[in-house]
Amino acid sequence: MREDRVSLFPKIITILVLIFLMAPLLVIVLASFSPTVLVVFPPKGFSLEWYANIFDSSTNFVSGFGNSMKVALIATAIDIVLGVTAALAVSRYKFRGKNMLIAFFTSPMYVPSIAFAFVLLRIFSMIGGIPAFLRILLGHTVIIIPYIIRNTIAVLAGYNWLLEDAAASLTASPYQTFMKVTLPLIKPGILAGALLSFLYSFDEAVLGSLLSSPKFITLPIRIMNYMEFSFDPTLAAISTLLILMSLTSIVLMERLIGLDMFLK
Amino acid sequence: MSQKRNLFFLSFPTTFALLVMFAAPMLYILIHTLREDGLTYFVKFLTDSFYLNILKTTVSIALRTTGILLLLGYPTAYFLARTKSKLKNTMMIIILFPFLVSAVVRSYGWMVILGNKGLLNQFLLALGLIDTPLKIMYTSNAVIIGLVHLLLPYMILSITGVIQGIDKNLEYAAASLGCNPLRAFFKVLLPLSIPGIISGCTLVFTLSMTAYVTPRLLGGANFRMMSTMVFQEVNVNFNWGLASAISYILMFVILLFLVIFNFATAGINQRVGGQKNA
Amino acid sequence: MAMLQLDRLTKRFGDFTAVKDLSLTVADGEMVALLGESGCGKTTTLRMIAGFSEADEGVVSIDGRVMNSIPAFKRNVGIFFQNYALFPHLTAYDNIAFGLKVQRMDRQVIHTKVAQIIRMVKLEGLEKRYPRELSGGQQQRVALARALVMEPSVMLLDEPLSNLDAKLRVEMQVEIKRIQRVLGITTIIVTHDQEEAISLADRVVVMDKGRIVQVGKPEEVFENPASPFIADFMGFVNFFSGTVESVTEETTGIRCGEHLIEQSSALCADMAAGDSVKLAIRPEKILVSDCGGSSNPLFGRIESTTYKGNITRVEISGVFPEPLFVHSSDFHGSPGDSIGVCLPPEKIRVFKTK
Repeated sequence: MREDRVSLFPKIITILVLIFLMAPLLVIVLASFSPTVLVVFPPKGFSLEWYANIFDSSTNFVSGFGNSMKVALIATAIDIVLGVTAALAVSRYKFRGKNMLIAFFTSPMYVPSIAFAFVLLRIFSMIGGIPAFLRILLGHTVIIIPYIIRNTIAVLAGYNWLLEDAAASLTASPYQTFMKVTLPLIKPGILAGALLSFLYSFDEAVLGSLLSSPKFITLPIRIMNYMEFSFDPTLAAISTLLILMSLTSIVLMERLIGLDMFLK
Repeated sequence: MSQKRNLFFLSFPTTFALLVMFAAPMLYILIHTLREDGLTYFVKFLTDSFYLNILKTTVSIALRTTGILLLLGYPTAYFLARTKSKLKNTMMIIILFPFLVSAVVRSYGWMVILGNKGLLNQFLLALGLIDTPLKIMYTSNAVIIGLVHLLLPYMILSITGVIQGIDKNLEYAAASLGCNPLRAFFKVLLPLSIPGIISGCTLVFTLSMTAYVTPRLLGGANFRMMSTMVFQEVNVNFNWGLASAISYILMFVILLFLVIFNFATAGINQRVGGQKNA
Repeated sequence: MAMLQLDRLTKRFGDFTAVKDLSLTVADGEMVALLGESGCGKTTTLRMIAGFSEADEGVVSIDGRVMNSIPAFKRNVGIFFQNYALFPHLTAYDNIAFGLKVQRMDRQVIHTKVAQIIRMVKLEGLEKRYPRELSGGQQQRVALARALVMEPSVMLLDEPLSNLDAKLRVEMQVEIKRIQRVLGITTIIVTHDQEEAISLADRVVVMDKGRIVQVGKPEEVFENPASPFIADFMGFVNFFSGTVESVTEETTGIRCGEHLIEQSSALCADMAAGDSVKLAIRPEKILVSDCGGSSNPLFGRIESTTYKGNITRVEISGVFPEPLFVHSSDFHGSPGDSIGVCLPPEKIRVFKTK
């Protein structure tokens, strides 16, 4: 068809881009089953040795996973509350300085993580005695807030506020209205945003690098540290597990609200 | 009155948290740095060609990355926005999926591919196309490849959304008025998608200026960008004053570029502003 | 200026055949309407003429020149889009001049031509406005001017009146017709609105499921639809089933329940006793008050009345199994009253059913 011929060039680029995007991830998955330390293609066999190695205590991957999990879960939980209330405030009401407030809420996005990480490092060293877990948690709580707020504002932009009036006319109190009408309708969007923020925190490596202590190190830093000393496919194995986690997340998001949320 | 109260209760916790945990520390350390060392380290940075070169490298990497991202991202975004293929959702997943994978993991993947004994060199040697392995790892090319991979989804998504909002009939109208596809693109589609290009470029430029994991892993110890430099000053040279100066200079340079970018494109943006009415 | 010929055009999307063996000749300067419901293939046909979509089979030709392999931008077919598709980043003037500039015409020539067409569509003084600063009617005139200034060999109008309110519709209807007469451009209108088709076109082509089901002058299609489907489309509203009972040279008797309806045999071609038929009549053609001795008087009961300003819509039951709807301009009656109506035979259309 003629209408297809016009888009042949974009089509070719798209295919190349898709291959480019998938290549390193596919390579990692293949490498994780490599029987040799040096990854070769075609693979000379099949081995699960590296997966077993993940759980070797010397890699510290398991404790790193636990630490990252703890930080990401708590930071996301705190930010759902902070982010959703803030987004409700700026979406629900009209007031002067609204855009200023939105800009303030999302300002951590525009500050380089490395700069913020460094500033926190200095502040914490001035105060002293704050455990690494709390330092990283605090940092992550700040840097993921903008993402939750922006996502919730986008979700609320698609919400019909007249439904609140309708509920009120049916004698629902504002609290009941929020719990029974507003919240159920915006919940999928908020969950999808929370999942995104969770992954962001889980994978974060800049604050993690500067604020961790030998006692508390998150998984991405553990992986980077491991790379400094050895470059065997254990890295591929742990990476494959992380890739699987992301894949599960994206399928979950697609189910929750579809992928159009990323186009806003 | 109750509306004011609600507004206050809803916005206060977040405002307070960000003031205490974000705004105050950022300002305090800036003032602290200035009080303690004055402009010493800022001057040192801006007069020492070693540091200025790092800034230059950072900006140059960010600009090149942004350019490549635009060249790859725009056609992909166009295709995604216009395709009626049943595979569109699958393609979206393939594009979004790396977006959710840690930068550490993705850089690792490129290390396996681009290394001296990596898959690419194995492949090229086996084909006899080269005799000695190509040196890609630990060069600026490796960093750019890594950054392009890291940031492609941002660029694609920024532009796809905008192109989806452009009426396909405008392209048909241009054709019926005598435009071949290329002219239709330059006269209609491109000017109308500039808001998406601007937001996409701004985003990826900022992110490549501040990227840390990719340059550290793919650039190696001798490749320095602003963010890896902060790290080195803190952890290796223990020069916190200089680290402060680099952090704030990085922020300032990004801000400067954003302002220039905004000014340069403000006119176009304004003209395209009302496309929804058509 | 140009004659448009479609010869056995066929277009499929997967298993779905959007247009099937469509043949049509549009004479030079003629205005033809493609009329049908959404999904009938009219828009697909338009896109094939414009060159946005390639026919799987068949030929599109303009003045005898086969267009199939000629891309849209070389066809010189003008299009008016339903949503106008004005370029939002260009002023009204630049929108209209767009095509001329693409052809790299001399600036002075462009200016003259644009000024001329702007006068014709009455847009003087609005040249510097952006589309978003124009009203719907003005946007529509820009869209029209943008296509017309190219002096297209064929002009395609996609639902030209559908986005306008009632008052503007009438105005634009007159306007489009006037401009088309002046320029004498071969024009095709695609529409789902019978009123739009009938008021604008010289000839109406009714489409259904990708095929042409009737072609005729507006009054022909309006008065004598070829099938119950078309009659429904043309606003006949009242349909009831019957059986042919007697056929003579002059009249055909059709039994509808307990009523025998007498119809002139001239209007019942090829019918024999025993045939199942469907009868149709417009609500405004049914007489309520005085039957004046004409045939087919019937009695029923008023179910409901709806006052609509210029007419009253009356629903009558008990005449046929199906309710009967009547539009009366001067009606006095209440639900529950019994009522006499008569169906003038010359206004009844009879269709053979299988």
